[in-house]
Amino acid sequence: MPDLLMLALTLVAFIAAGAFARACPRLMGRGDEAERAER
Amino acid sequence: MTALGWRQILLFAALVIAATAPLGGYMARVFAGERVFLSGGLQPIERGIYRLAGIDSGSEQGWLAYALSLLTFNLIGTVFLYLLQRLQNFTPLNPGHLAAVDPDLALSTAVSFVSNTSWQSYAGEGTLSDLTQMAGIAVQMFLSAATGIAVAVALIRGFARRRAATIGNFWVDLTRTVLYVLLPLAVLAALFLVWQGVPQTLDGSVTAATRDGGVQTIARGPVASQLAIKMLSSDGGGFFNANSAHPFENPTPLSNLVELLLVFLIAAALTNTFGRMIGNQRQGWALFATMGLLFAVGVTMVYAAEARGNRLLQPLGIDALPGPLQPGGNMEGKEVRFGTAGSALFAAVSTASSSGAVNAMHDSFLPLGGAVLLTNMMLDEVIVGGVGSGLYSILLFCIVAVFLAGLMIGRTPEFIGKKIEHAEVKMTMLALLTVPALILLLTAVASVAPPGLAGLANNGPHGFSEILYAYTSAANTNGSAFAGLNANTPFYNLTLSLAMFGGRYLVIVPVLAIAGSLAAKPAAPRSAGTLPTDGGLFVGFLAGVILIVGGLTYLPALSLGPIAEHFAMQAGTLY
Repeated sequence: MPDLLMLALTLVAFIAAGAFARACPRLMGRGDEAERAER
Repeated sequence: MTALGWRQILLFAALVIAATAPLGGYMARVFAGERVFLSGGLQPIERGIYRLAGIDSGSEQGWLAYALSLLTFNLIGTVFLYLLQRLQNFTPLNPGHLAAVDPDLALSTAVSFVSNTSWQSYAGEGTLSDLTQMAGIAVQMFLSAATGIAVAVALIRGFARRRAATIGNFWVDLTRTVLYVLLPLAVLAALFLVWQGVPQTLDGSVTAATRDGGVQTIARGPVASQLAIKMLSSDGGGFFNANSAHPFENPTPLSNLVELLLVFLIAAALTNTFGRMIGNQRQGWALFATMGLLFAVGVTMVYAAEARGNRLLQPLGIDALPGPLQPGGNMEGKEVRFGTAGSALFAAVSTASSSGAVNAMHDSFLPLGGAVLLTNMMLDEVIVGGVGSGLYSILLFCIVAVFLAGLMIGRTPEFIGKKIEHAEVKMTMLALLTVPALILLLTAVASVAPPGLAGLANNGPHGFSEILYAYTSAANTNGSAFAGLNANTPFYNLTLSLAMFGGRYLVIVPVLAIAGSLAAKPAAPRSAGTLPTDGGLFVGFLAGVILIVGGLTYLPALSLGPIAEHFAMQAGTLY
């Protein structure tokens, strides 16, 4: 049981890091040049 | 301080400077995929690995694919190392018949070595089998170092490329780093260490009859092979609990010098690799000079504090002056054969890099010496730092520096021909704030929570320093410890795992995002208003930014720990 808990924690942590990576483009925005061009 | 002590320090610095350009040039050719003198022997192995793993070495990845490959690879490494520890009582090469490692300790150890931290809540010789040491710990020392270097190289490509959608191939960078950089150097270092007297055997421990009629068990194992990559990878996790203070892990003054050199070798040379890959070696030397400046200040302060000794011991008749028969200064927790200078230099190198190896017990350093060791780590491991992580961390500070300079003069900041815009600044701040947030929050929790306080051997400001040091070391992937804190409890194993994980991957992901964002940008032509970043002015400005950001973030915590302890000691109170 403790092993499953530890492995589950590991999996959740790496999945969260992957989700963070996927969210980065949204966090970064589209860049000043792209925004200027849009305006 | 003695002339002999300074000669040791200056000899070490001269060797690092001499090795930086040749190794930096070699690594630049490796990461550009060019032929090097080892290609004849290693290329068939490299191609075989790609074929076996199904890697298309000709294709490249965007930053997100690069990051997800890295995370997947590190997840597999963590699970493998965890299971290896939990099953070691069933696996071969366990001459000491050691039991399976407890679940929370196995998790902490797995995260620790996969993240290149090497925090050890255990004594290696009494906890891990030879198989776990060799197939688990030593392998992860190679792979975690290669992971850090791959991230640094990806960021360099971000600066070097123009309007590019890709930043390299993680699997190729990983393979080439291990094959062409780490393995050859580790083999040479292991052979040297065996020559110096470090054991390399699978025969297990031996027993010896002591002079007073007792029996002593002397632990041995495949030490040299692990020690070589331990130092080279700036990982620092010892085969023995006493780490490089153990005579089997650091037998001679020459092994001490070479171990120190191995710690700085790759991380320092990467500044030169950076300069070559962006086509401006002066820029690489500017980063090297910034690191060197901060290191020189740190090592001088630690050596001065330790050589001065503890004045409270003088009335007790204890002679702390250097002489022909003793090195003098504060020798508590230090090996007589290394003395104050050798111990101060090792401690400064170990905390400036992300090594964490020790040849003296940092808990016994005087408060100001301990404060410098803490500060070295708190500056995000930019003073040479870990292999790869040192370079990408100082590049993050470069982005902050040019951003601040841009604010001062009202220009869009530029760095190495790339405009630094809000996307890069946001990711930089995210990476730079994650680590202090983890350290300060977890230290605060452990300082008031009963399970956190239960692990303390000292009270007052020294006890606080022990907790602060543990989380600082973990989140900055250093791994050294202030002894005195029993961290092998579920509370510390789990919270330190969180610090190590966040301090590694929540920095790597934004760094790769920055790499991708920069690679996609066109070149920003240099103009009369461009801030020169490869000269003395920028070196001073960058060092100032690093110190001010680090100082503002951590000064309150340092005041509660080592600074308060220093003033208490001046007033006659010891903790």
